[in-house]
Amino acid sequence: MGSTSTKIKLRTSDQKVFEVEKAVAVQSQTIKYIYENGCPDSVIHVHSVSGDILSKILDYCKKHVNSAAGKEDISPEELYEWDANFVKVDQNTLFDLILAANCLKIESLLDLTCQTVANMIKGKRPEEIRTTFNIKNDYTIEAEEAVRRENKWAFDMLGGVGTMVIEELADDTMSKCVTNTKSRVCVIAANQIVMMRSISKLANKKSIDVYKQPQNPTTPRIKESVKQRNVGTGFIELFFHFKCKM
Amino acid sequence: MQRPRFELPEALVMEILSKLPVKSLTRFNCVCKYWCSSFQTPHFISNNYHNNLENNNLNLLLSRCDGNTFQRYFSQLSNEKDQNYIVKQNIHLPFFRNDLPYVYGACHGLLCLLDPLKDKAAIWNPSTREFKILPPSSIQRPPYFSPFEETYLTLDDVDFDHAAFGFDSKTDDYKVIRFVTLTFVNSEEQYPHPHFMYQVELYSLRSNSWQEIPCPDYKPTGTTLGNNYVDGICYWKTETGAYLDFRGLILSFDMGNEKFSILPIPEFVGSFPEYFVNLLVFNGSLGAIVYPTEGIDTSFDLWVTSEGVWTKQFNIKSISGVVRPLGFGKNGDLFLRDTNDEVLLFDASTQELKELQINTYLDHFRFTISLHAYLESLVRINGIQENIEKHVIRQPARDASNEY
Repeated sequence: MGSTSTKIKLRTSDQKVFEVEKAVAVQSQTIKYIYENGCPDSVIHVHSVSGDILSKILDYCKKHVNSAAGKEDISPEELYEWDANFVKVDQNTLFDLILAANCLKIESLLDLTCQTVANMIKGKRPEEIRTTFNIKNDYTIEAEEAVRRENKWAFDMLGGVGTMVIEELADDTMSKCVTNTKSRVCVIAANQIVMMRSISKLANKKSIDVYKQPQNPTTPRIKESVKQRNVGTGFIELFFHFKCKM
Repeated sequence: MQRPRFELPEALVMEILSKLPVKSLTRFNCVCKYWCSSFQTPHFISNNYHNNLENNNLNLLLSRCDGNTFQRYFSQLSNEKDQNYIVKQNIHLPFFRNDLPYVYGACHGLLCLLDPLKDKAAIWNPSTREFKILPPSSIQRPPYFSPFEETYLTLDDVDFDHAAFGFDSKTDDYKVIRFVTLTFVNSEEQYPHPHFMYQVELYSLRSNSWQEIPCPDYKPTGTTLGNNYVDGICYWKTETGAYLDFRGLILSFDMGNEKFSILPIPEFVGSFPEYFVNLLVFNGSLGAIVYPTEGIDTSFDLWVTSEGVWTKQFNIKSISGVVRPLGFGKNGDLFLRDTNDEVLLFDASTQELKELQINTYLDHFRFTISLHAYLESLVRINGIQENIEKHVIRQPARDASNEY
């Protein structure tokens, strides 16, 4: 009896009320502070958190409290698995969880959610990152090229050394992929590997035109033989237009 | 990924970014100018390093010597245990061509390469690929007057056999300390008898220069396995006494107050000639790995110090064959070298010994394989990029897997 079964009431931004055990609620340093310094009987307002998000967060807190207190027989590996499943949500929910974990000061949840987003973005290209975080590119074209050149080793990516993957292919479509390596191209269509060729061999095929994206987008596209270009010196985009029999 | 419904506040975006690997952050320098400058702030660098420390994002470098060319090169091992730690890439150092530098560190993800025979040293961040060549020291070598021969002797050789690399938290400075052995001879003699003198030099990254500091009574006689710096202090093995009276000691140097000290190695830990005692850094403390000098099976004791008290952490029971330790990887896995210079791994979780698929070239000099672990870090050393003047050349290993 006593403090272990004390309940705390929480009201969310959308006027939902949750009644939770104190031990679970005080996982949030914010709630803990308010509870210990305010009136314990009244309801604590969590203005910036919606009912859905708070519900999820309370699930997390409950799981971790029970596991730590030994109420639930769960090994560290199983808890790790549970956490991994907990963050399998859409991007908007994940961002909501991050904001809420920050506002409620639940350090382990903040770490977990931030690490999840970090893992999702670590292999991305800069353009995709700008979309994810709604960032305006304030570099001039020349300045951005200079930064890319300076850090070109970090752009060796996408399938690793030697393989390049082209996505979303169908008959007669333009498809693009990004590479700065010199070796093979792996063409995937309808989830099947259609062909794997070295870039120089692709250039010799009649049905494939390879275009190099020029540095300055205002100049017309240059068609050139891939064999001649000094692949591996920079960040390039290859546009493929070809017929593919399925 | 989709465009979000709202933007996360900048502080939270930075929180997420600080958990990224260095390669991703380097690529994201071109996202926008604000990100590029943020990644260079001490606050961000420190958060990122702290995250790497918490997650133990350890990278392993095997330093070895090509048996055909006698060149030192590094093999970066994969981090994945289930990949059997295969070699991902080989790193060559043209700057040290024809030299065999020793490797000191890592400290905050930085390594120091120091040539024992010439005044040639560099600091390297393998994560950011920054490489900084240290200036030569302009310290005067003292004259040596031999009263017996009643003449000044000639300086015949200058060696830099022992060193250390670490961090002074008081001045926020990275420092290199090295012991200089000066060999003097009487050049008029046909078979001259060498006389030795010692100096100690200290390099500071902030001032980018060397200065001389007073030499301690004890000089280092042995190196450590891998890193010899931890928590503000550098360590070397030293000794006193003759064969039967032999006592192993530890010489330490505090990077902050620049003072030397001597620590004893207790008898119960083990001592030469029955046992080899190799110092190393284990889990953030100074430790020693002790193993018998003789016998067909080798068992290892790991001792760790904490505030001067030595405790035995664990024992690895006899591993068949004569093996020598190289150092620990992640999760207490112990890397070993056998008499054929093959690299073996003792898996702490399964208690099994296995041979790694690491092709050891003919390693001509038996004791030149060493293992170095470093944490990913963004720490800047005001060096230059590796490939700009070809100070470092990286080649993927032949059988490297296609992973990000």
